[in-house]
Amino acid sequence: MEDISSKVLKSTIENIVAKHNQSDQLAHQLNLWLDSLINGSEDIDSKEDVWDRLETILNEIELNNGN
Amino acid sequence: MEIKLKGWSSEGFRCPDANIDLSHNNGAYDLSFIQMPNGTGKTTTLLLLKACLSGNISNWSADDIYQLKKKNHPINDGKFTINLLVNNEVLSIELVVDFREKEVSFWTISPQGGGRQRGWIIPNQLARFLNDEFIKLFIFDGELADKLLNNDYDEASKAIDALFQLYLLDEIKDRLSEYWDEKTKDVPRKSQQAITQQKNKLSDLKELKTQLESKYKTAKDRILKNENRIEEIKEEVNRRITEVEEFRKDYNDALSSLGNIKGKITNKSQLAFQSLRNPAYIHENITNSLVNSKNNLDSLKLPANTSKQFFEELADEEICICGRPIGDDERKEIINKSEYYLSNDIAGYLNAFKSEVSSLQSESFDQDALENELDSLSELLDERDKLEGKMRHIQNKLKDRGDEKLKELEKEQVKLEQENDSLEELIKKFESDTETNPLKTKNISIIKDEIKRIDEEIKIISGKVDLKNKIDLLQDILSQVKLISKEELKVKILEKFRERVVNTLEHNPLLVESIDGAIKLENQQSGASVGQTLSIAYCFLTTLLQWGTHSFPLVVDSPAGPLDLAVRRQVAKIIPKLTDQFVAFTISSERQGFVDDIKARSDKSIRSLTVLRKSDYSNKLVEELKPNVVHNSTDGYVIDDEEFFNQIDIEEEQ
Repeated sequence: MEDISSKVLKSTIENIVAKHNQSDQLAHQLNLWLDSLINGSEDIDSKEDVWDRLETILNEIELNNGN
Repeated sequence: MEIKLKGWSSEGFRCPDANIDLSHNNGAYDLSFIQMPNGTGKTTTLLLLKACLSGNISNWSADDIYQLKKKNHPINDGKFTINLLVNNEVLSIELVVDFREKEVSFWTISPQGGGRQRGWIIPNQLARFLNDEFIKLFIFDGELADKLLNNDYDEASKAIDALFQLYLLDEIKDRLSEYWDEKTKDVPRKSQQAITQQKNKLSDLKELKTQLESKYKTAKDRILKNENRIEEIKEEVNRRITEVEEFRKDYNDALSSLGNIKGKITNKSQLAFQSLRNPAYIHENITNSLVNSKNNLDSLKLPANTSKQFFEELADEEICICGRPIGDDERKEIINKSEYYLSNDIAGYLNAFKSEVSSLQSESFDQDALENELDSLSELLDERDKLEGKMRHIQNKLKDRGDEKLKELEKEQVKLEQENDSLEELIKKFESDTETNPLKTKNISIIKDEIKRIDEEIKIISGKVDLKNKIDLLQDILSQVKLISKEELKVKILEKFRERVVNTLEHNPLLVESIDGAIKLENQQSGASVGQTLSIAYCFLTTLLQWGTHSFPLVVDSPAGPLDLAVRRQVAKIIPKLTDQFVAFTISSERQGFVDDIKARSDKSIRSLTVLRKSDYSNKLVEELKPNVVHNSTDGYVIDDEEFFNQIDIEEEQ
């Protein structure tokens, strides 16, 4: 991830996730995945990897946190 | 990411075979001008450059592929190679075409990647920039310049997405939708409202079940109570009858015989029922058919002594039972032949069947056993009826003598028996009502099953509703992240972009108001001029292409073609300042005011090549040149001579 865009994306994700009353862990998982996608270590077209990531991230979401 | 275009070579395509070398001092020339008269294959060259970079030819039809073939040449193959320097490492991508088969293949050549390998094998870090959206930013198309400043398009916004890969956020949203589809493909789509409806239905059914179970229990209890009372009545009747001397003996004898007969009826019924389970007892024809079947199996020698499993196990062995080795061919044949044999379980079933049928042929088998049992049962039932008739007769005699109590007891018994009949009917309904509508049926099992089904459905759907809510929430988060981070990045880009505009268009800087879908200039109500548009487009694209540690070449076809002289000079001024590598395909008329001006103003390294298709005219032109500046191919010349470049005046291929 580029320095500036990395910082912008990271802080935006943290802010938006917090606004939705979700955990830091969710923001962390999202940032980790985006980092891997942007630096090319993971592929958005690899269904198996994507499914694993989505399941991990969806598990971090708590419903009824004011949503 | 730093990419330099070191050159390309082409063989077998519509453009003249040529090797364009832009290498310079372990890198590439800063400014390269490839002068090609119209019709020399600029469009084909650009198309092949883009295809090599993206590895994507999915929109090429077989006809498109064939159209790339060199005309009037007995050639079957084409090869186009692009040579790059990626972060100072050499990388080449080859596009190979079989024109007969109309097939295209890619090859990647990289010392780090193990030499020449089949396929478009690009490191992920580079591959993320080699998609169609990003390539069009640096293999520049004049149309893009117009679109970047046209509010009807959102090309400026897309360019930012492409650089920062913000499109990944949209792609994650798409994958979430696919994930949802996958997870719910077998589940009916239900809304929260539908779940509420199901829950209401469940509540109604549970209420109904409770009511029916209560009625069922009441009926059962009532029957039991009635039966007890009937027994009491019978005992009371018996007692009253046996109090009368003249009826006592006959009545007691009949009562005792009746008990005995009832016991026999029970035993005989059980025996008859057991016999009924053997079809051979039902009719002689069935017995004969079974025996015939067994005889047929015997004559067919079925089941065989060897089973399918024997051969399957044998096929796993290395040595056959005959001592010879079992090879692949033998193994295959044994497996094939095993299909002719029955499996163990079918053979076992047939043997059991034959054994059972054999017993039908033995002397101990009595074909008439069932009929005899039914006859005996019928006799016992007749006897029971006679005894009951005799007892009723005695009872009636007593009633005729005016035993009111007996009359009352009998009346009560009849009433209780009738009530029990009705209750039995009701219980039968609770147990086996054939109405299948769960809200109308009295069958408690059907209602229980429906409750279980709805319960399960609600459980599944509720789980899916949670999943859907989570997916919606995550998609919402991703949309907001994209929107907000893009706005922030736009501000940063706008700052650099404005700086670049001011630095490059020193004397006539345009003011950029904003970047929305398109670039918006201040005070430009009626649209920018051609020169302004092009200058701004170059500034914008190179702001992106030189962002951070990035450095991409800018490749442009006819950069000055549509510009008048004044505008050309304006654009020529900015080009050297904008990018680390500028590669332009030009025609001779673009020299004046553009190529000449750039060369005159720049202290950067410059390459000037002229590409001509072979013809009588071009043959004459090159005759006068030193041989070492002319690179000769099957159908073209690449002339590496500055003077020739500056003097030649061919707009169209001669």
